[in-house]
Amino acid sequence: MAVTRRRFNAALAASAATLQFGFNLTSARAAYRGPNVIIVRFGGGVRRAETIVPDTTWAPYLVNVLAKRGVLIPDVHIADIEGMDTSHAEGTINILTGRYAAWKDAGSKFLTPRIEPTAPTLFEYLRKAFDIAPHEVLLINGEDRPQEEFFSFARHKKFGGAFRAEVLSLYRYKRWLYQTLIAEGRAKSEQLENLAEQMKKFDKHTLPGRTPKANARLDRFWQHWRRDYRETGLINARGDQLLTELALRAMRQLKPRLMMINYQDPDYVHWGNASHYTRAIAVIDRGLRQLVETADHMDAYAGRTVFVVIPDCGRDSNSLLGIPFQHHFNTKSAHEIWALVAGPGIARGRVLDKPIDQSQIAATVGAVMGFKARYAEGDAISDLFS
Amino acid sequence: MTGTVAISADVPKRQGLLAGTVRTMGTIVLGAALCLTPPTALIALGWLTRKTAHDIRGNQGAPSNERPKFVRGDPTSDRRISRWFGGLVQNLSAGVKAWFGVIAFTLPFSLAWLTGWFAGWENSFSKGYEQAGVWPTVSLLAVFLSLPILSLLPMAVAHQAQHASFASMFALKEILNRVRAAGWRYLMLTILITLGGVGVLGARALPVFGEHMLAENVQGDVKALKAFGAVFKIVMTVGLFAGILLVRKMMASTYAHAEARMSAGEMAGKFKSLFILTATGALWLSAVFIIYVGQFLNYNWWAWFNQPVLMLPWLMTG
Repeated sequence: MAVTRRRFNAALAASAATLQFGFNLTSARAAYRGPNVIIVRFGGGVRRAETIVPDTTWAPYLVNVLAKRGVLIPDVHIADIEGMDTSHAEGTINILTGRYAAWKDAGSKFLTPRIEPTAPTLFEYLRKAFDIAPHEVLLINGEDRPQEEFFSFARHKKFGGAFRAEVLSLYRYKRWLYQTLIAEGRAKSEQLENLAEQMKKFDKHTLPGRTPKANARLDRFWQHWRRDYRETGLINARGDQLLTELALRAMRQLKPRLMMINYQDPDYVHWGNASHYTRAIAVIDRGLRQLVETADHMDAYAGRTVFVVIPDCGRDSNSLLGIPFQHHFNTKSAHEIWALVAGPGIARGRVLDKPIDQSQIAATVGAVMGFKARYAEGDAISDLFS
Repeated sequence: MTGTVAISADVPKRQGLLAGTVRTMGTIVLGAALCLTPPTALIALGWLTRKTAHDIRGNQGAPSNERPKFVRGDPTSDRRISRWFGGLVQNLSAGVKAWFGVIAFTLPFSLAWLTGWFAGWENSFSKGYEQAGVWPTVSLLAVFLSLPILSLLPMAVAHQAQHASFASMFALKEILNRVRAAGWRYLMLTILITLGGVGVLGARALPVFGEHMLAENVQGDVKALKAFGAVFKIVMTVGLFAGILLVRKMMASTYAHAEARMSAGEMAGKFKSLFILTATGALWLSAVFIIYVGQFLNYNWWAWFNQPVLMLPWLMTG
């Protein structure tokens, strides 16, 4: 269902009424009939130059095809706030909650931040507003970033774990596999020992209330994964291509109404190899094409899916270094990102040439899906709608 | 009746001190200027090499040639071009020999460092789990194999300076004997060189935060950042050259001390030598760690092959 300006404003009013009373007017959550939303975190930190600038882009599908189907916002900015960093975890929470600094530390270590949102995420807003099953709200994470598990819900007294997103990642698969092998009683002792060691490491990544819950739909999902890719982790796609594969399979098997895919590999340039940055952008671009083309060919998604593509943060443009974009250490360039929104009800082939704040994405998604991101700081971007 | 004024005996000393200070400052300025680009840094390296040889002879009390100059040559030469540019030619020749020598001395492991880092991260990026351990293992092996070689490097550099030949860099037995003869002084020299490495890390790491250092840089003013980078490079290069002069002075005195002890048959015992070499190895391990940290902060492939304190005195900044 397309989101027109009239529907956008009506949704805002309905959401405001819902929140005023604290519950849906019909006292039970209504079935969700709005569009699907797929949020692509074009992540790991990317500059505008290598993504949306036509002459220097490494993302040709984004620039030449997808941008023509929606609205490109070339000037999105991450607010420069004292004590805040331009990083992946913070940027993701900015996107999901619509608030800056809406997180608390949950035991960060050197090079491994662990932070939890403290304001409700889009997942919670949606599931609290509508009757949506947990497997229909998904977060797709990379294998080596278990700390991104914590983005599935916030520590918030009115939202929280009851309205969480489910998470798909190889980390989750391994947890499921370990428990399954034990239940089957078929694992060789050495295999079980290895998995037991891994489970001990996994337990270090959980926090109170965040242990994954049993979910029959996800069990089936992982059974199919196991059937196809078995147990070694060596047959399935890897890196950010793995995230694309997980997302495509989720679309076919779970049909999520809201899904966020946390691409990350451009961040490899921290270690100094510039081609890792550019190749990773090209990988995400190809993943984006696969997602859009799959959506175009599925009844559940064709003509009813809005894509929101946005980086978590930018990168430095430090001419004093051999690799100017090696890091993203809170410089002016690291605060400069972009966004692309495409789908039904969104204007086509347009460039929104005015400054937008990263915190406005949450309210915008809320407007698209028919809920108000009440705790978000930024306003919805009304100029997007046709 | 005319009065006489007593002239203090200190005056000539003070005048000598002043002249020496001015000369040293001039040397630092000129040397640092040469160190701003790689080709001219070769000239500086050559001058440093010839100066080390000059200082060794001075420490030994041997009659020495005139202190080497950056450009001018032997003033007694018949040929004008030799008088005017002889020093420059000699510096270039000595610099090329020294540089090739030290590159050859360190290339086996510095190449492995580069390859291990590049290939290791390439494998990690591609999620090559099957061979995940290969390149980290190669890197670790290269690091540990480099330590005994690096432990000898300062003495090898001094030995080559003294003998002014490429091949003398590889006279390992003679170099090892001098290390044994030098004793604790060699450990002190290695400590100084390690501290120099920390300084080089600072010169490579600070530009990472260059955009935070001045208000104009924060606002992303490209010209301001470039100007800052240029000033930063000059200041750091002056510091580097001054530091290298200190290291070279100590290197020369350690070498001369070692030769004197060898002549007197006073060699450190096996256990003492082993302890000193182990300690220098540990110091070089920290120096290598510093190199890796520097690469994470400000990557430059060339930095695997060149350590400015002992090799080409050129900072890869800006």
